[in-house]
Amino acid sequence: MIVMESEHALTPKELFQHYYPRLCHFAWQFLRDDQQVQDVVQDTFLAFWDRRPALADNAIAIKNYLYTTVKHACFNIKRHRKTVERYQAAHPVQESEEPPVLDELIRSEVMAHIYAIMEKMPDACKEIFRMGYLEGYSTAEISELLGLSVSTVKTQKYRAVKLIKSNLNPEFFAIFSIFYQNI
Amino acid sequence: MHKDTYLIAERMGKYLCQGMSASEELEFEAWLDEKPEHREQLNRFKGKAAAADLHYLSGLDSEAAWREQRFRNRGGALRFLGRGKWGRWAAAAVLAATVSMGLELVNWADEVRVPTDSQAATGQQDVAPGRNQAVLVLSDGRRIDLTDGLSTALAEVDGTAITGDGRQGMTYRAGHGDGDPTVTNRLVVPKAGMYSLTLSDGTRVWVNALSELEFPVAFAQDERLVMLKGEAFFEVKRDASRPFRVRVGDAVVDVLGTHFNVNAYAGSKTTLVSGSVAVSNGAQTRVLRPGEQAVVADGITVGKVDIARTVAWKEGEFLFKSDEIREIMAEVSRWYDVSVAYEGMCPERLELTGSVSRGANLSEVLAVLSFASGASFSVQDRQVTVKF
Repeated sequence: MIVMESEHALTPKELFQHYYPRLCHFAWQFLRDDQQVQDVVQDTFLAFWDRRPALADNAIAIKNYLYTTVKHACFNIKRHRKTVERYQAAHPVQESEEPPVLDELIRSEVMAHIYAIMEKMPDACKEIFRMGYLEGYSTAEISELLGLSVSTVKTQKYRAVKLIKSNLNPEFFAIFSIFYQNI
Repeated sequence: MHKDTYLIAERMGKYLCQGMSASEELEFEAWLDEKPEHREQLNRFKGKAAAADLHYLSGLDSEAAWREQRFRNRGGALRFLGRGKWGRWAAAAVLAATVSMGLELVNWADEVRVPTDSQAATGQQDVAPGRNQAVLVLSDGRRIDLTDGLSTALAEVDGTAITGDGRQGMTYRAGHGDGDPTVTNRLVVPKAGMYSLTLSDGTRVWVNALSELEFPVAFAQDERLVMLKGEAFFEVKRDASRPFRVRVGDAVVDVLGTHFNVNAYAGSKTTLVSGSVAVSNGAQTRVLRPGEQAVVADGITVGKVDIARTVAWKEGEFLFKSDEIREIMAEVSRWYDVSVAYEGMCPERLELTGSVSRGANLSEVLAVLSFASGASFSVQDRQVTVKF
């Protein structure tokens, strides 16, 4: 959530629940194995609480640490999988470099963000939002698919947008605008 | 490292959710138009491409994962404590390093704020711990403020000299003539205070917050009798000819030479550290062995207790071992001079174990308690609200 990016501090539980979905999603992109994903993310947090005193107190440092740790763990698992495969195939092991994972990282951030926003919507809103903004259906198509009047769909869309905007922290934009010029 | 990456992601997420203002949208669209890759990247999060991701996310259970995390991290709950401007939390962590958490009852704190951005967290009001302070009431009714020590020596009417021992306490010494056992002094320790003194027979007494000790400046030939309200720890000088007696309400603790603690905040609890004492309430008398505690209510009940826990206050520590939250908060309330209110349902059998220095500010103590109990604590106008 964007609120996260403000100066507001999070409790350990909030912090965990904020990052857990996106880190799982991130690991899932590499591992595609639910149990391994959960283990990696759980262990990452355990390491994080230990390392926290040595980390800078800001969201970027926390994110960097968490994503980097998950990434290493995922690549270790992948290497191990390969090693096992190779061993079984009696092939020599080749050390593979860890590729950059920015695309995966962005994907996890974006999808977790969208999912978190959707989760905050009432059900009627949620479905229309999902279909309209994410799946690209037009208002007319949604009204037909869901058997609702066009005006109902419009109202729900409007409600969804209002909800999203009310969930956003205005201060974030000011901070963001500064950084944004550097992108 | 990935600062820009996060910001791009944030913008994309917001854009896709229609969460931007018109001007931000314009700015973002300009960025999208800058390079075809930008728009390509955005499109990868739209439509069917996102369905699997959202489906995956909807299958996650963060609540269950948090429980799992707590379970995996049991014993390490205090690792949350930070550093730097949060150094005070770190100090609490060190002091609380001996904490061993009861497994099922432990809830990690939701109240300890972990800063997540460079901006400083707003300063919460904090409450300083208690300190050495008390008022001494002399036999003529004069009241001497003992905050931070007795600066000038005093003399009682019978010649007994009272001198300060630095900041912590004072010592009574007999004058040249025979002391007068009818001359009594009263040490009144307020909330957020404690004080120690050495009586004229050499017995040392530590008096806890919200307590009073009344004693003769010189003891009689046949007994050494003091009156106590609240809590005190005694290191009694051995003197077989003159038993040392502590009167607590209706109960009397009889001593020859010993170390023991009397807690009479609610009912009276006498804990024997070493030696031997007899506790009586008029009708009944029970002799304690070291490590035993006598609780005087209607009758006298004797049981084993943890000595370290009972006398921790004297060592400058809060030490809890399977204690009830209300008991702990009563102690906190006396030491920090705060009132305590409860909200919500206190879980049944919520017993806490942990320790923290009594020199810590209130927030640190509450942080430790919050870790151990899962309750959240807020402080306003010297009132602590415990929320379950």
